[in-house]
Amino acid sequence: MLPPRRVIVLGWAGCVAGLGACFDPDHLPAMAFDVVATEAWQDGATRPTPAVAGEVRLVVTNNLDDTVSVVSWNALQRGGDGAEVARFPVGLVPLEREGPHHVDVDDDGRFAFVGISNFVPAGGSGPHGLHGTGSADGRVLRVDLDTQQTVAAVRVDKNPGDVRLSPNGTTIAVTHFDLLKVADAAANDVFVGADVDARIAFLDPITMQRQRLLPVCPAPHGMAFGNDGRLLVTSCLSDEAAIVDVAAALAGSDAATLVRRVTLLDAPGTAQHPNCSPYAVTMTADDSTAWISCYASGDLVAVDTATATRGRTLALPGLAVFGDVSDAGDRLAIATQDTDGIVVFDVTGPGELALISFFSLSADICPLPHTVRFLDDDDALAVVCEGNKRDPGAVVALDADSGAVLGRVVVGRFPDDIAVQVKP
Amino acid sequence: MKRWLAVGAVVASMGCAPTPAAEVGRALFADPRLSSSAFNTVSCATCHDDGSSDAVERILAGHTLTDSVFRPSWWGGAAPSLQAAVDNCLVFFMREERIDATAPASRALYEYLLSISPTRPAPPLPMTVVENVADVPRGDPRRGERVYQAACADCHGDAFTGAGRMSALVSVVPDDSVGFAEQSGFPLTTVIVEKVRHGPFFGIGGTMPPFSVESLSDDDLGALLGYLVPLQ
Repeated sequence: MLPPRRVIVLGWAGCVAGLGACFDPDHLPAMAFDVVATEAWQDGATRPTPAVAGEVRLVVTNNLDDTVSVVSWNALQRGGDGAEVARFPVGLVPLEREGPHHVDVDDDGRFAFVGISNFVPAGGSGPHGLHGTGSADGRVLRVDLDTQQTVAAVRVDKNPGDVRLSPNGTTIAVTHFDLLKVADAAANDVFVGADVDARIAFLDPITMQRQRLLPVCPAPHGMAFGNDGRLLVTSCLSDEAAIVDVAAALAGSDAATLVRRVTLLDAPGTAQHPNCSPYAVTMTADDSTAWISCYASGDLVAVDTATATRGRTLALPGLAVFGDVSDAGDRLAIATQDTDGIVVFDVTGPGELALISFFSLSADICPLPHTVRFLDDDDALAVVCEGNKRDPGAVVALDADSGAVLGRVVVGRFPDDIAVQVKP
Repeated sequence: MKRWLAVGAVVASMGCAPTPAAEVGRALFADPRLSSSAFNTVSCATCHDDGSSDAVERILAGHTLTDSVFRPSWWGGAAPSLQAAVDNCLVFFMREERIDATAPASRALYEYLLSISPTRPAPPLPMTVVENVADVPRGDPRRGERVYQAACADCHGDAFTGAGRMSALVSVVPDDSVGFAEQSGFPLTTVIVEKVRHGPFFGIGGTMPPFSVESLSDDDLGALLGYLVPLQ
């Protein structure tokens, strides 16, 4: 028997003489496979069965642990046991926390679009600097919910905020809650204009290419499309809302003609010192009114989308965050913090909102509710509860008439946004 | 030695019956040419034990790949699949693109991993990342020298000179960090701790893999500092 060293020498001599490079992937020896190609790379991860036609699942971004939770709505409204059917990591850099922020899901229920904010305070530090400060550009990921794989990504500006797919499915709009830009400009005594205004990115949801980057206003955050996708309204930190002509923007029109800004207060603050601190937008079913949530004041301010004028202002029980309008168009639900709960209005009256109810949420059930969605033909509400922003949060299901808690499930740390996945 | 026997076996079988894919995968496991980059010098075996490594005690950045296939998660939960875990290694450490799951080389590597993964299911392995770098007290330099030999020397060669290092692209330890320490104003020890704990991540760059707390304890890291940056 040849000693091992001779085997090696003979082997490599054979390599060189016969094939040049043994393990060049283009020149491998003929191989006998035990595993068929379609089953290669199967592993031990437990993955949920892909959603079936008609099944409703909730996709929730968990800011602090770089994961997405997938929640069975059916199980959640029946108490919540086993409702989280999956929690999987998202992001492009495996060891860094990248802060998945907001999310939307396409109408086929197949792909989620996840904004990566790179804003996770205390998310890494050392001689090379701080991480998680939102100083790095963001990304939007296209994630296959069936396989949990990120299949595409596109770079956007710093600190992507809201991510919303247009109703016609032709564009994804991404706001940028770029507080650093506001602060940097202020440091140079610049308080308005191009150096302060952040852009909305419009992305092709199929190719994940940028369609347009449109300067809009300081630190736009929440956003809502109109029904036909031709306009959207976003909240601007400068105590304003901005109405954007999406159709014209995608057609390449001059930026100066595309954005109408509406001041939300008689005595507005600035982006550096807002009085309202516009945070979220909820659009009525007929697109006529966009309700702007004020995080600082707790007000809800109406904006007429046709005339670009401010309407009435309502004071909410707590600080106003994200909301939703019922599918029937008759109710508006807004989550509030500080005084934690969900406020529900009747929006069918002429010009006035009528308060239907305020569902108070206790700290043991839903601390810091952040967003709410109508589900089940408007019979129920799904609410994301941020918790203490360090530990796992929750998603709760509420009866939309009584506010009774139908179910609760714990998700990842600092959950933020929710999107509804329905396979047609 | 077993690895080279495997290489020989693969080659010896050429021209005869098809080679078992797992055998080719075993050779690929130890071959930097798994990456197509001309600048890559590392293989899977640089960072991972496959249960057949030589008896020399090494401190490896990565977990063993024995029983790697049927774990429920990888990279401490940061990789959602085995393929994603391998992709991370290829992209961040081996200067390669993501793996083509159906390519013959890829399938061969998978079959090798499968062949050393008899446990189904296998438990997940922890990977605790030190996100925010903190100073580590210097320890015993004699122990530190042993840690260096076990954890660093394979790539960096001899400390202070770099003699025998894997390639000219690999830094001389700790000398090549002195300049950055002076520039950044941080102690050299902190710069070393950051590189060891963060690898190429958190804005550092390069291709050195990070050592998690499970791979290299703070005690061993402190001893390493005692060896590389002795008190004056």
